[in-house]
Amino acid sequence: MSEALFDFVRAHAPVLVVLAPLIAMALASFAPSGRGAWAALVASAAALAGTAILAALTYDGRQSYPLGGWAAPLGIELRIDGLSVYGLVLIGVMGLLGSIGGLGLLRAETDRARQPLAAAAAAAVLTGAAGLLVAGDLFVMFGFLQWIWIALGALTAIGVDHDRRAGPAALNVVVAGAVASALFAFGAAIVFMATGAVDLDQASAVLSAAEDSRAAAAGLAMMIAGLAMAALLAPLHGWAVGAFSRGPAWSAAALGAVLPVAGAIAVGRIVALAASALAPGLQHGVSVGLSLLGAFGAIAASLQALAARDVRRLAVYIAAAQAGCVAVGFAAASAGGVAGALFQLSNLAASALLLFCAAAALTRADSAGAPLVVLDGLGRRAPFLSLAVSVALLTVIGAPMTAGFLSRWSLLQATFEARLWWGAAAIILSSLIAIVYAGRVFERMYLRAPAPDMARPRSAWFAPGLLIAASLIIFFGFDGEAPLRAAEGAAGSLNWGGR
Amino acid sequence: MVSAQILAGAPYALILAFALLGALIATGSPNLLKRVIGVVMIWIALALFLAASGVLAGAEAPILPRGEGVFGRPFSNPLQQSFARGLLISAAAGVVLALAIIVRIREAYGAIESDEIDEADRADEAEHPR
Repeated sequence: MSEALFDFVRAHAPVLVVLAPLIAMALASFAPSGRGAWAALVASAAALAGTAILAALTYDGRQSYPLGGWAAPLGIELRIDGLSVYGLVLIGVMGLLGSIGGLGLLRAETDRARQPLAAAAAAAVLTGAAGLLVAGDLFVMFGFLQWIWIALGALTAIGVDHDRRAGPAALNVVVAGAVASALFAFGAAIVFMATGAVDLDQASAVLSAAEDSRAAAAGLAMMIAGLAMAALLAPLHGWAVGAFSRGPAWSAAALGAVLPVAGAIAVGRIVALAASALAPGLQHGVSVGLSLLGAFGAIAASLQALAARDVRRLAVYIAAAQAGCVAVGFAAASAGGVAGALFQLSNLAASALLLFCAAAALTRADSAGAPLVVLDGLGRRAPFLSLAVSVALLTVIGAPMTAGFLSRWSLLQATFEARLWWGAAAIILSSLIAIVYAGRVFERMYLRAPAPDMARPRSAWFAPGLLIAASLIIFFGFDGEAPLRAAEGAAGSLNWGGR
Repeated sequence: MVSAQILAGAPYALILAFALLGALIATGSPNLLKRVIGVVMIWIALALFLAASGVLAGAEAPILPRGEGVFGRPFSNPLQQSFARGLLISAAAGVVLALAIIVRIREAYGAIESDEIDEADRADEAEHPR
């Protein structure tokens, strides 16, 4: 019985990871209460994580899943390869750990009638993120990208009941998201005109035989620019600052670690498409452009983190700074560089989960914010929560004995090999700046006395997620073999033209 | 020869200019409704861009006439047109959501100009320092 179930899940994994949250979205929107809708969201995240882990454990080469009875390139196809499996495991686990903690806050800060819709919108964002990872052609990628922005905009807008500033933030997500996904679609159309292909494999095959690919280069650049917003690259991360610091507090905990992962993996896919091109200028141009964007993003977001006055904003800036480092790794456009980037991406996901969950737990019920003062004396008020924040900050710095140390190490190695000096400099500089803002947080948590009227952090529901993510960071800090091997396998599943 | 090339590229250049104008309005206008109009302009430009890239001079729409098994005359590429249709659906969903959010903003702030909204936020912050 269980073997039959395993076989079924394995055979249909590419579509199940999209269907599970999609069905949960439908169930949640008709659920009678917030609790039921939340259960549907958590169950779908668990199904997504379980399917992804099963697919990762039994992974033996690429799996194609044609939809509607038409094989690619004519029909639409979902695919699982090493890269998407890696991303699916990350978004499944992070989505599950983050959304488990959401129930308390969902019930506390969302209007009763809108609780099911909020959970449904969160499931919709998960659907879009999973779909972006398994899409086999450019137009399906576009569809899921636009889907993510619509769902996240709806989710953020539900926060208006609690904090009216969520309204403009939600509109910003929808409008900027539309501009970004239109940019992606323009790029896809140009690539289609240049290669006659929308299917990723077919486009890659055409590019690897074409002498001149200047038109395709313009299209690829536009696609990466459109995806950079989802990948949280500064200066295109403004949507996340609004949505995750003004929308419902739990939505950042549930999705803050999911979206950057989906966006970064999609960027990696387009970079791989460019790397397969015969004309050397194409890959080089994409490398230079992406490494500049990544280096700028890493430093700009680190500087913003220095100036942040709100814990939730601080979490967004820290995630964006690491996303910049990930982009620099992708810019190396080699198996080694992408492996380093993917390792760093898992570190980003785990630390973002810890920081967003902690920030959600610390968000005040009254003024809908989490000013830095809520951290004062946290070491005594909530030792476990402050320990989780400390682990997250240490791994962001890249301190030894955390996963961040090993991931920065492999990332730096790859950027040196690819001679991306400014990228390497940006990674080191962002680590150094991280020492400053992390030091300030440590000082507040462990050296200051708590303000007298401080409410208790609402962390009970977040405890399992915090515990698991923090232990993973420490464990992989001592033995980084498993994630590094997984990242190398994921990077190796793509065609880098021998680089 | 060169002029023929320029002529062939002219529609695309016009469409891209229209999209760029839309992007400027969508990101720069202080009026939230105008931002949505800018987004609509981008989507229309995109649909035109796709349709233009599949058009064949003198060809007809790629719709199979009733009762006939094959096309008698040349027809335009159906792939771009079907993509343009899918795109307009997702665009409509986004635009409707954006308009609904603007209604909620109007209810919450009594304004749909971003500078008035910012001012209200600043006033809030001055009243309840965080």
